Amino acid sequence: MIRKENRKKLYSGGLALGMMMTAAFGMSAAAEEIPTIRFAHQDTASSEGMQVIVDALDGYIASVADRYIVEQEVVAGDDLKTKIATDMASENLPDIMWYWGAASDAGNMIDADLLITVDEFFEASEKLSRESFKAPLWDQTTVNGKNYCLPVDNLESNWVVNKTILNELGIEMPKTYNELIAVSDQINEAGYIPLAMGCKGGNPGHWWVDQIYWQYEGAREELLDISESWNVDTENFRKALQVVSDLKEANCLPQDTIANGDWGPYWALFTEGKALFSWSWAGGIAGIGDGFEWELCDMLKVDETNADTSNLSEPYCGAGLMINKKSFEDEAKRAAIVDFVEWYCGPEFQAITFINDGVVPTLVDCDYDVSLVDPVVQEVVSRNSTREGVLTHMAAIPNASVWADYQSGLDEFIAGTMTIDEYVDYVQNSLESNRE
Amino acid sequence: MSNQKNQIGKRNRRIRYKSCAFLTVKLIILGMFAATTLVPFFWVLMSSFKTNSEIYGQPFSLPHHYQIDAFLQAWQGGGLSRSLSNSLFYCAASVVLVLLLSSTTSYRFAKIRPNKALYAFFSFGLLIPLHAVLIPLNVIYSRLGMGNTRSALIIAYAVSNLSMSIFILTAFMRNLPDELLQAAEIDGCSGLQAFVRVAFPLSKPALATAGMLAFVNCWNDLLLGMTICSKENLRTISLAVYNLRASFSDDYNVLTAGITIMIVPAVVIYTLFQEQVIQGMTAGALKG
Amino acid sequence: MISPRSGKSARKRHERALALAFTLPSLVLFVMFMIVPIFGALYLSFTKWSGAGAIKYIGISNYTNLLHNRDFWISFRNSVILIVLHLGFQLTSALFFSYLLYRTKPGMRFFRSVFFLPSVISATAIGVMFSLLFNADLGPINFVLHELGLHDWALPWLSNKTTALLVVSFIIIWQFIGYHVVIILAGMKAIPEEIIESAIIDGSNTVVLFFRIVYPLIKDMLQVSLIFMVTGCLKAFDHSYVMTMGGPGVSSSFLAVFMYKQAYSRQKLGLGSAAGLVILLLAFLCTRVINWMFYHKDEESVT
Repeated sequence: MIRKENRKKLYSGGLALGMMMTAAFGMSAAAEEIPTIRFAHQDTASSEGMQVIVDALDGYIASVADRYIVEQEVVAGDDLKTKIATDMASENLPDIMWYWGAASDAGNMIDADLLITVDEFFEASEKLSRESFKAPLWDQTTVNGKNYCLPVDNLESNWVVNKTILNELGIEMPKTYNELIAVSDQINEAGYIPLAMGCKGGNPGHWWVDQIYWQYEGAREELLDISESWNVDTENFRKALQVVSDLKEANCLPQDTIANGDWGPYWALFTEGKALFSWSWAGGIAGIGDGFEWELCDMLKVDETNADTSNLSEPYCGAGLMINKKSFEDEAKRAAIVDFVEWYCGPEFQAITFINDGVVPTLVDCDYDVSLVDPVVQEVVSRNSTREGVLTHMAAIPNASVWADYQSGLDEFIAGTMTIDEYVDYVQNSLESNRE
Repeated sequence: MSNQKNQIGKRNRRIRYKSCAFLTVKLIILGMFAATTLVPFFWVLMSSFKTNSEIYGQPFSLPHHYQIDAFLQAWQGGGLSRSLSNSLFYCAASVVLVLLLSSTTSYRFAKIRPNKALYAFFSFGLLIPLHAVLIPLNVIYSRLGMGNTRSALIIAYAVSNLSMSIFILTAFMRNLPDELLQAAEIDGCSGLQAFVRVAFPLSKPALATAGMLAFVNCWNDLLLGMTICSKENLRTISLAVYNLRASFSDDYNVLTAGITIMIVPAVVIYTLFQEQVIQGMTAGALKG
Repeated sequence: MISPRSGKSARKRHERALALAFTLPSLVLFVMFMIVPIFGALYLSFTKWSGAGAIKYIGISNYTNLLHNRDFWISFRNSVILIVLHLGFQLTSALFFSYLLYRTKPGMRFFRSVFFLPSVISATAIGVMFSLLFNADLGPINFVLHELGLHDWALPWLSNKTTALLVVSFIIIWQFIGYHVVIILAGMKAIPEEIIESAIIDGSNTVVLFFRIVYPLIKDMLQVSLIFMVTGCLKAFDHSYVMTMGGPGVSSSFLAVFMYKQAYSRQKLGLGSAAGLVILLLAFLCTRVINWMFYHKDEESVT
């Protein structure tokens, strides 16, 4: 028995050593023959629709395996940022990344000259050019006048209203925030929540707050000016925050905006039939089901403004593919990178993500079988495609640290643990201390 | 005389009743706490069979229909089958590694050449918060050309459990009777053989304890797996389950199904090695 | 260990060689992958770096920043509160349940296994589980409270500054009670039967038995327990991050959560590293204090 122990020890020690050597050897061997590119993204097969998308991705990678190998590195959600941050710090940035392209997230990579501009990519690509993409989609990821991100993550959003609740309570659908406040008590007494909204890590709260802010005259210009002025403390902004306060005081929001924050929980309040109003992306709206009667509606109007909410939408196009400069300049890898990016941004894959996840194609020419598209998604997209798009602070704030503070403070403000003054001061302090 | 006997009999009976009552009360209190520890497991397991609406609407009841869709989605779509075997490999390999390293080092501290300063040095590892060293560690791996490899993760796991293992094993080995080792030496064993033939086998309980704790730590780790080794086919189960959170709706049933799948091996390992763990902690870490 | 064959010096050399062989592999790996990164973090703490681009040396600015940093001090306060709550609730519960198990013959093993079970689950899973359970609008806990008519008790658990911290803390406490029960119970079981029996014969009741006899004899295990408890508190991260992201704002952040957010969300690796080293220092100090408290009972100190 003792001899066995000895043998076991040697065996496992040898095994460990062998594995290490094989791993090291394996890595170098692969690099010699055909190029390997590392692609970091956050698509996981968490639902049936996503499964189709993941299969399509895997399918393409398998089909080009004789020319180049794609290693996928997948981290879902915002923690992809953690992974990329670590990779970046250890000088191990992936070759291609699906990432958020605004200065608030990719600013440091752009400043450190780690990425190529889209124009450099277009020079090398024969299938795609700047004009291939819809023009307004470049706005949310423009940094210092240039674009480093090929937009693919275009989402359209819409408000929804629960008609069953309206009928049950015998009330007209509110069109403005004051009208909502007026019926708030009645809704709460019946056990429902007027507006399903939450805020954890800034989501989805900051989207909603900017819908309110945007309606004020001059807000648009202020927002676009932030990268120059490093200032958010404007009268319009404070007025918008006041609207939020009023709603909170009138019990229009859920009690627990933190637990109901982030993309899943607050939406569940609506899909479970517990809320009168909510807001979400097309893909989410398509998943409501038939537990109750509902319909799409315009965002609520802020009474003291002159905004026309029937002409407002809040699209998102702040993420897409970004390419590592060093990898692109590597002759051996460039062809592979171009080919893969062309496919990923190309009409075939974009049609698949549209049909299965409601991600709107960003190409001007993108054919897809309309009959395969979820009718709800189609309706949301066509409804919003001609409207003016609200921009958010996410596209305007030029620094990651400030953006993180903005979101964190917003959590507190919406949860009711910070006053308007405190929140604005908090963000201003952050702007001042991080000013470059 | 019989009166006295009666009295004693009565008193004994009273004591027995009293201790019966005490026992019942004790069992009730213990039972209540045990219930609170088991309820979350029950919730996770049951939720995996339910639809989302049921999870919100009737959280603690049994599912209407036992649907296994969530499990299938988690297993196939979430890639849990692959990451399960990955994690089993990483954890087993790192446990083997850490036990090899710490048993020899602990034996040195316990029996060969105790060295307070060096021991304190190793114990330092208990104080280090993981996130502080995450980036420097990755930089080191990158410089060594080990970024995104299995071995990098295995070594990281082993090293992060090294201090704890040395702590447990040293305490245990200190209590091993010197006479046995001396007897081995007299029989002609070298120092190494004394370790391998006598000390190592005798330390089974402590090895089980350290091994199980190390296994559980590796199994549940999220950040090391995420940063060192997020390549799809090398993913840990912790990362795979974490990735089940979707973008629009939290399909809680898929998430809880994933969590259930993740819990099972940890619980199995724990149950298997329970006895030894208890022994290890009992006999060993006594004298500190 | 004297052998009749070899001389004393040969023995000594052999010993030293063996000691070296047994320690070197651990030492090399430990230094390379644990100690060197700490020095890396130390170096970074004197710099300003976003992870990309140039690393700028800024002296002790990060540390002075921490001194004036509101979020840091709130996180620090929260960590202190966490430790105090642990001492008040987890330690006492663990002692209570350990003693109860010690004095209960039937079912002891079963209960001990069950109590330990939560420690085996990943903190992330526990966090996800409880954020649904405590969801004020959808979760079962408030559901039950409303059904029982206790409407005032149905608070927005995770959105309220105070309750968020308390809920997160108590979940951490709850998860690891069993872990400490196992440690302390092990210490109790090591007490020789005779001492207990003679005390009972002398007429001690359960309570006196605990304070006079059992407690003094388990001080070693208590020391171990305390060290794991306190260092664990200082490193606490997962539960807070998953349930509330340390929020609202930083109301339920602990030092490790603060450190993580600075390094990764705010892209301030220098500041994050400085915070990390502060945690390390605090853990070290706490350990010294605990050891000093138990000093007169120990011949061989733990660290």
